[in-house]
Amino acid sequence: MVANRYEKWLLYGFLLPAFILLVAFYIFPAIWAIRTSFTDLALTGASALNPKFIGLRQYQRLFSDPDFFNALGRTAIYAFGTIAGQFVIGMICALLLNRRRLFGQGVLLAAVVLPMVIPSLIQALLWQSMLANGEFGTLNRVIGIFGIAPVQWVRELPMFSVILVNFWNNSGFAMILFLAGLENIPKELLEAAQIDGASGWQQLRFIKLPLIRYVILLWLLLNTLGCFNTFELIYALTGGGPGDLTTTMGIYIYNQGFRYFELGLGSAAGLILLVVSLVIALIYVRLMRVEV
Amino acid sequence: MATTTTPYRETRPQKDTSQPLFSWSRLELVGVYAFILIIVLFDLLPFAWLITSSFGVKPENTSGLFFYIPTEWTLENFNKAFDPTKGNVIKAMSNSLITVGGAVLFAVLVCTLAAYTLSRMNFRGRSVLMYGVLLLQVIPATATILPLYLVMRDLKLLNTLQGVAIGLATFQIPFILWMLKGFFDSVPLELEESAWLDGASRLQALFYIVLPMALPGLGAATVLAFNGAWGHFFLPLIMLSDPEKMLLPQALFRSLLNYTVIDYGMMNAISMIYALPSLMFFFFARKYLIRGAMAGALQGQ
Repeated sequence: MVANRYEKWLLYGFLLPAFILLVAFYIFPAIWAIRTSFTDLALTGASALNPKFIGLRQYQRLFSDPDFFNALGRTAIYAFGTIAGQFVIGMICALLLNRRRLFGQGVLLAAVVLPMVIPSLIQALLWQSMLANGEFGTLNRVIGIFGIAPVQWVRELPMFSVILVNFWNNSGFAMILFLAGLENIPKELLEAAQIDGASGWQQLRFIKLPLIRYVILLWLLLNTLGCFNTFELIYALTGGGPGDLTTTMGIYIYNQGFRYFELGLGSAAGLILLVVSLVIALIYVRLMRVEV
Repeated sequence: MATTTTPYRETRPQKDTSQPLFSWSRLELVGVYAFILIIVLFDLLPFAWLITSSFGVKPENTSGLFFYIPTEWTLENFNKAFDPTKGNVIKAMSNSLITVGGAVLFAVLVCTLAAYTLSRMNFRGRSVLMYGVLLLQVIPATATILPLYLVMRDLKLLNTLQGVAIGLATFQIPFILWMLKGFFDSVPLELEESAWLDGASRLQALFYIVLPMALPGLGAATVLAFNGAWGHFFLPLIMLSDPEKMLLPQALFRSLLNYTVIDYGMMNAISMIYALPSLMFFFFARKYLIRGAMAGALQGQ
């Protein structure tokens, strides 16, 4: 490529603003978390001004804190629950959209994608109406039509309620990824299978699912990481309650930092979450590569 | 429901009509339509509440928290939302527009520069940089939010809109960078080279040849990044405590927390105002959004 010396340095200079920002506000905080997690830094009080180095004490506290393990476990339940439901909803929608013309396909596509683009705070507010108690909630009114008694959704089924909202706002993402995979399957393969008399289920089980497994893995990876990252939706919907029954890692870290002002402990929890995310990402990347 | 009036046909993926061997049985069709009906209702019912309770008169003696079909329509809730003694959203709205708009323009600007270099210069470590940026997405924002707060504090950026804008801009960089690099890659190098031969400098070629050709891409990246940053609630929540500086999502969230009796009509009018850019984005760019995401998914393989 033609470039004189001056232009070359100018072009390298072009990289600087973007990468300085990424380093300062993305990478540096992740590294700074390591340092903070070895101190007793707090937002208020004496250790706010003079944080002391206390070694692994924060990690000891964390590992003896049942709330921490509860939050970790709830994050896992949240991830598994959303993965199961989104897979079913997303896959059925994708299969229906991938089929030959069917009345209502456009409506289905639009309806499933719409919740995805709305700010998460609005998502939470809309679902406060859906999940409200007794006859005040829309969902209770809907199940009332079928003669089912009202449920106190958030109080009786807190984790299920949060997961249900995730089905609503995130199935579109699964559907789009699956649809992309399905549309990429060579038509000849399916026609050959049909001629050989494979049933719809057999085609799905032995041709479609194996052929889109990379898309499924990609979705699993992105969705798992997304679940670890969930804060806004749960915070605005339940605030982590009732009690701490919907306190996932995002809420736990936020509470440590801005409710109890324990920045050191919160940073340690954040680092553990980061390490878990990296390990999971590595496992998925490994799975994708091994299967090639 | 409002969404049934839009032309859906244009979003329909290219169907393969050459599957003559397959046909639905009647029973299957009933199941399929039952499923579609349930999913569509499940997805749209919350929005139906948003629309009826913000534009409708709520029935007497109810909280208006559940979905109802109003008998009368009104703009009263929006008047209340803008009323300085009630909703007072104008300040929060302008804060949001300035902060998010500034953040996105800033992010697109720095990404344009970086993406051009990444697209045109073949230097060692280029792919490491690109994949490094992609890998950043693995870091959960929740994991680094506390140290980010400390960084913002030490830079004296807490409680400033500039600070929030810089943070929001940074969060959008990985995505915009990848997208713009793709668009620059698709502008043929020969066009630029012929401009150089005519005596244009590299910068002139960038501004007069490459950028105009990549303009649709720049526009798409700007719109997508705007929608992403507009919905961000976490960063402003921890950074801004001065009510005068609060962004729209914070104002909305506070109005939910502060009142003992919540005026759902007004709250939904504010929600409507806050959701408007996203809804417009959805109705005008749905096709590109879905196509783009599908193309991205296949690249990800």
